[in-house]
Amino acid sequence: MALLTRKYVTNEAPSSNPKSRHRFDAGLWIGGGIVGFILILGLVAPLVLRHPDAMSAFYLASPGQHGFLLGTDQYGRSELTRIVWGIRTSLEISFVSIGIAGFFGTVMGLFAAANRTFDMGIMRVMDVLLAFPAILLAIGIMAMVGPGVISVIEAISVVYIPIFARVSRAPAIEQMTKEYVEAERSLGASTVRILFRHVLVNIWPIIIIQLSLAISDAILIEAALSYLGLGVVPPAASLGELLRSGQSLMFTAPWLAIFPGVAIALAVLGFNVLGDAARDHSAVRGK
Amino acid sequence: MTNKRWLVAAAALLLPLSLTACGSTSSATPGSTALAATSRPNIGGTLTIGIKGDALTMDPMLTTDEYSKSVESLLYNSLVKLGPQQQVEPDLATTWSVAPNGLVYTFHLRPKVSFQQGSPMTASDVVYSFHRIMSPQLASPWSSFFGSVKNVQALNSSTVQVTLSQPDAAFLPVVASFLVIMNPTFVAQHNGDLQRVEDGTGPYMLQKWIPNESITLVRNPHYFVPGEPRFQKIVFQIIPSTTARIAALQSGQIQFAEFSDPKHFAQLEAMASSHTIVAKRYLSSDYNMFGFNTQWGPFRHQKVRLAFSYAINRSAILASAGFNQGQVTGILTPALSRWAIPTSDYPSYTQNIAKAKLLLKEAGYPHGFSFNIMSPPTLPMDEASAVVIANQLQAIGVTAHVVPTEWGTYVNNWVKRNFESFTGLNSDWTDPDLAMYAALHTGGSTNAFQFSNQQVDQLLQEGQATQNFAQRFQIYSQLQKLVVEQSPMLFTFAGYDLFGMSPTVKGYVHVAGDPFRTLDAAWYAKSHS
Amino acid sequence: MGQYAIRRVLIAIPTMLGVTIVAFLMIHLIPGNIVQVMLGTRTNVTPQQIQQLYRLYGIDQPLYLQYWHWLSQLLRGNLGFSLRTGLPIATLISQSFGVTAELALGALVVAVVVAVPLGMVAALYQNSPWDYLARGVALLGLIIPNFWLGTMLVMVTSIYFPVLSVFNYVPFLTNPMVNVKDMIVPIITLALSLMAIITRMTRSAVLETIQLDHVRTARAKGLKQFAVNMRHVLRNSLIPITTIVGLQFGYLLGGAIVVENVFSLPGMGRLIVDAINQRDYPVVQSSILFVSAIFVLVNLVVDISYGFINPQIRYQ
Repeated sequence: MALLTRKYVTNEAPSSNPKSRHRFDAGLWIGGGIVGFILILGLVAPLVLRHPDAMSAFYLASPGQHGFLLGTDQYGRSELTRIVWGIRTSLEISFVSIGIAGFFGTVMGLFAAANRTFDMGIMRVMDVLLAFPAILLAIGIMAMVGPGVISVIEAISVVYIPIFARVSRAPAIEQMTKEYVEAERSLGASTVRILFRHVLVNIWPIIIIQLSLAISDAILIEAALSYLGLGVVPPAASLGELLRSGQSLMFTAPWLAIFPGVAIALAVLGFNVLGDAARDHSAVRGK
Repeated sequence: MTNKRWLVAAAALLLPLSLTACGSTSSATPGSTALAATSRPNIGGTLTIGIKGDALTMDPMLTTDEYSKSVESLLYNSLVKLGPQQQVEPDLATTWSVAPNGLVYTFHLRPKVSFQQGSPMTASDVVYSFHRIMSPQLASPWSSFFGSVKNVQALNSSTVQVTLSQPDAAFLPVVASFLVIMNPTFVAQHNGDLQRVEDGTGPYMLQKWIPNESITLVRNPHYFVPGEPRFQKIVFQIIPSTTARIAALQSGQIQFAEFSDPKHFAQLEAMASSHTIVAKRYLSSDYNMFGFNTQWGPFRHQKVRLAFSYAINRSAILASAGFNQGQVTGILTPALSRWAIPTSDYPSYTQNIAKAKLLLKEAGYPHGFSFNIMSPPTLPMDEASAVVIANQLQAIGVTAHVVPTEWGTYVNNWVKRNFESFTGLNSDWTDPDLAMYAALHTGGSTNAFQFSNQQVDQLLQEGQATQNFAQRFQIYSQLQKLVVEQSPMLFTFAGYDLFGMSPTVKGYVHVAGDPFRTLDAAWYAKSHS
Repeated sequence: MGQYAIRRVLIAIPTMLGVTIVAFLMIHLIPGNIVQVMLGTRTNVTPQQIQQLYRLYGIDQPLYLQYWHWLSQLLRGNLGFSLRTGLPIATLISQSFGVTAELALGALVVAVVVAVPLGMVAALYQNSPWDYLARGVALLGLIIPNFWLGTMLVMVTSIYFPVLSVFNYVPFLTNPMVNVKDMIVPIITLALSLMAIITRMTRSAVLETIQLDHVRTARAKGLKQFAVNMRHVLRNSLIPITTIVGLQFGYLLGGAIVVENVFSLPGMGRLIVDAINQRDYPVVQSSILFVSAIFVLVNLVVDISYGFINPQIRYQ
């Protein structure tokens, strides 16, 4: 699973065969298409579907039975509705937490690049956070703050802040040695101005790519935490929570274990393909 | 001998007859040899039990978890034990008498009983065991059940006299459930640390304990019941995943397992119908409930609480949260068959939304209100109950937010009475007094509801002081109805426990609350390696 | 070079101290305590008894003292004892870590054995069915959550290979056959994502290498010559592959914790989660510290050895 294995934008070379130029655009289109589809599903579909907590008298109806396309769960709730709402919750969590982590991590990385003392201090703290396997740190934080949507957002943010700090720090240091920074400085520009008006603008593509990949990781971390019973808890629906409650019923009602997993894989696929394509694209452009 | 044992014995006598009738055919199936062997309980074989978690200790007086208790119940004995109908039966004491004032209990011990390592069990050991469980140094969580014990003395080597400070009708069930007889010399040898060693009088002895893997017990050849126990060894194999336990039962890797999660019952019963295993369901003496904080806002009004009782549909909760594997119950579950009254005696058990709305209006909440339900994900049925109850309460205009709370935090809130309402699991133990006193008496230690009602208090005290069964039954019948009317909590349902076992395991008799102890009398139909 | 290694090791010391503080606070800031959890909601205990139990477990002391006791014991090499079972934590960890390590190492071996040849073939025969297979594996491994894969494998094996569907850990030394049989599905579950990454890495590393001049020349001269030069291709590609494997191993530990849960294996994940649930403070602290120490150590070794391979990295 990607969340436990990839933590940074890797330096993997873009595939360098001659036809690749064509495929990058395909990647952007496919990734963008899937992400768009999921966003629409998460944002718009809940408005036309029933409330996810609405119960019916059809307990554990199999897919197609009694008009439930993906069947029902133990409370007689429509699995399709739950999954669509689950996508919404999972997206909310991933976007908000990665947004927070991206913001604070990047700011820290930028300041670390500008100030040696701050760099030493903040990077030691980041080292401590990076000394835990991501999932272990998230488990610990979840145990501390208790389950729930807000807690998952907190946990994922804390796990990802050091990653964004590191990802933005290295290229920012590189930028700080560039001539234009020296020029700006001699013109009397403040450090903050240099960092945000110039350095940030130059390292922005790297952060955007990391954001897209981190969102797909966040979907997986949310799912893992909720699957372990530490994350989003019922009656709220998230993809991981649906998987957790579905798994215990897998022999009686296999559809409850299968469909949420498909939804997760689809969402992760979209953000990954999009992120990768964007990376390849910018790498080609950069050459 | 209990009814069920009678049946088993009778069946064992009848079977060989039916077999001789068809025994002339030469092509005997393998099954028939298995049946033939059931004629007499034979000794031998290893029974492997699949258990969900590892035991934490082997010291019964410090045990709070069910896994340790399961193992210990085969290692130790008490003075008396409880039968399938909660009747008190002899164990290490063969007879006992109670003084008319209900204050003095005299136990006559079974002669010639030895501890497993050889020393004889005498009255002074019994006195020691009482003192140990009551001692402040040990800090046994069960010591307060012995709060009424004033004095314990050995009249001679085989007679023990216990004096109580006040009559306590639940004394014998308490002795049966929480006391074990220990060997003081052995305890001293181990400086009082019995976490991983034992020297009881029970049918099995601890042979090997590999943490998180297995616990192996071996037959005590000097056990005081002649011919028992039958299995040469009992191995508790730790298999946390329920699906893995089911698969192990099916493949014959284990021969006995308890399942309490109803999600898996359908699968187990399908296996049973194809004769791969035998599946037996028994009603639990634990019940699922929804508790109020009777000191919080609207819940201070008895009418609001009763309105909830009318508003919820208990069979729907059982169907959805309990997968229909259980029975709707009052405070005493039907497992306490001697005491429980039928649920048809409770008017508020028939769902009546109009009546509920009326009650809310009378209490001053015509437009409802909103509140939180704390629910424990550790107990899936109670987590699910909260979801269903919240849904059902919408019909009377009340909004409930379910707040699933991790177990440690849940207990912390429970101890501090820091909740508006909660769902959870309560135990009846083995006697109505144990089921009700601490939970409902003003200031009782498990009265997290902070419920206080003079009439209830009065009846609880009377029930404790009364010895006669018929009189006690009257008191507790009245109490059961009163408690539903007062509704400090809403009782929903008691679930089944399903015991899956290999078809070759014979003679198992179930006792609610102590299901493993009775394995001492079970045996294998055919010889097992 | 030696200086670089020493600097990295020295930096690890304050990091580990920070880890002890985080691990300690994490478990002590969770509401509820061991005595409450032990007694649950069904026992009948007086407040005096509860005080006595607090003293017994040493949790009536102020936090800084409890931290200091733990730390000073750690410095003496004593990981402490479980409050719940009284067992030495070193014993608990050695048992549990065996499971986790077997899972992680097994997954590593399976992943390398499958992914390296697959990635190479995919690169050498671009756009062949092998290439599509490799890219398929790479994609699936990336998007399928391993806990879901595990669940699906449990469902499939229980229907088609019931023998494989019992996951009941038996240590390798006790019974190697049973051990391997029971671990095979969990190992495959954990291996898939790593397989994906290694396949990708191998494919792109080999692709890069065969663009090099001498390899191109060899290729132009004929396939036989090319086969001879495969040695070079492989050797050149091995450096990035080894690096990625090293880097991933630390993360495999994290993945193993989740996969253990799917198959209810008694590894570090279960040890830690059970201990958190029971508020068995010393067990939580010492086990988290142990896993982090391994994690930091593996990363350190990889970093330093990578520094040897690629001197540029040292100056970043």
